[in-house]
Amino acid sequence: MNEVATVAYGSTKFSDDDISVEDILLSTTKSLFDQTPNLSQNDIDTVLVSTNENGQYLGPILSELSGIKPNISHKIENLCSSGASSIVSAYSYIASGLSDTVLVVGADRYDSPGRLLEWDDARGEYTNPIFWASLFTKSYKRKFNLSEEELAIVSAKNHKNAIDNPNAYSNKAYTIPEIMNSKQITADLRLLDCSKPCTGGSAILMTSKELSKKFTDAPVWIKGIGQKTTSAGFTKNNDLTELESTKIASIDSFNMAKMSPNDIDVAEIHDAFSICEIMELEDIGFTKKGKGAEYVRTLFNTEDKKINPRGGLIGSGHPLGATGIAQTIEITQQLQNNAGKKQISNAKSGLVHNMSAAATSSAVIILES
Amino acid sequence: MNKFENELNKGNFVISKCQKCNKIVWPVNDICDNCFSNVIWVTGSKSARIIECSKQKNDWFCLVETEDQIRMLGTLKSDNEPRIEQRILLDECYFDKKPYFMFKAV
Repeated sequence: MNEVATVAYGSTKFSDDDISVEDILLSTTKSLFDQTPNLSQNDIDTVLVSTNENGQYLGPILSELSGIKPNISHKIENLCSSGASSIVSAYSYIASGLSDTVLVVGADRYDSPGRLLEWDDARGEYTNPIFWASLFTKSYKRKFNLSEEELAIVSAKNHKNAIDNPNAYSNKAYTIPEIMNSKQITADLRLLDCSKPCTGGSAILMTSKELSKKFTDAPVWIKGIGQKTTSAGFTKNNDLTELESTKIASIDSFNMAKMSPNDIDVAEIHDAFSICEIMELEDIGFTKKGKGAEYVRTLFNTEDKKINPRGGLIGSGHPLGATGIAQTIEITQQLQNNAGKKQISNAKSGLVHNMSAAATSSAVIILES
Repeated sequence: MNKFENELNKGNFVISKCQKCNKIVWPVNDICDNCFSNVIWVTGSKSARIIECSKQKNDWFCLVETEDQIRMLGTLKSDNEPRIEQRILLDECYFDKKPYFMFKAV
């Protein structure tokens, strides 16, 4: 298989703006071209669009709007993990030799249809993600005696980290009491425990090893990929305190990379809700089961930005189709020593975790400088 | 509107069962996810147990598992905090753009 690198990126600010997905895709692509002097439209042989928008033919439309005439061009939709799924597809095209240079652009609006999975009859009237998140939280609290304060620390940490991310939706730090007293959504979930669907776009350029040198002196290599789908419906989760697809995807990704969780210097993980970050830290393998909250508390108290340095979904906002790409851009910047105030010292390897629909599917990508 | 939705609107809870391998297919579908044979529609059990629950305003919402070993989210009418493993009964169901399942304590 060909080696695959991430070499360039672009992004919009995440916001509540009421603009079309086509416009977000184009402005995101322009941002990437503006930051990549050696790149011309003729270099790109594949264009992948990651979005939950219902619009037709968005891959070819973005290609035409950008003056690109790719061989391969199409849309990828996989709810909240559309972005990581697109990066995995781009990897596959390059690794197999079908493509050499792939532009992956993700975008969604604040009112993205991907916010709700209408198909799942078993959810009954409780289609909004806040309900599965509440049940995850309640179940975890019951099993591991998680406190409201421990839950709030996740949000406090990620909002604080987002202040140094110029593209983040939120630029406000919250105290733990402010989070614990924010609007009660359910008995087990408060407003500041939730990521916010928003408008935004992220783009990344991926190439083969041979072409990477044209665009950067510091390519970042994709070393491991794991993806797992256990179901589509939420009610197939056997244990509400574990993310089975995340566990399997993590093991596969670490095996492919020939690494372990101890080798990871920095990670962007899918904190759609506060409880998710705690469970993911355990199920990816950064800490033992039941110790996720303690791990987050230590990060917060020591101002260690190892987990979600850009602010995660809670701090940065969650434009669904862009999220997995924004996470991968953050890890690329970190491994290029180009993350500004967010920089983790001497980061050599990083991990992206992106998931969908109550972790019924997960993707884990490991990168190395 | 499919058979499941039509029957819900009559207040009947039906589920799909494979006519060849007898597997319950849930969420409902016309084709078995095990052997791809056609399903028949059977009355689902109304008896269930609580797997997990939380509350929004005054309504309890619960993940429940019925005696057919299928799980769903529904509303529980109860003045008291529900208990895990508590036995409950499907009391009312209907379809209005999405399914609604209402349970009551036994």
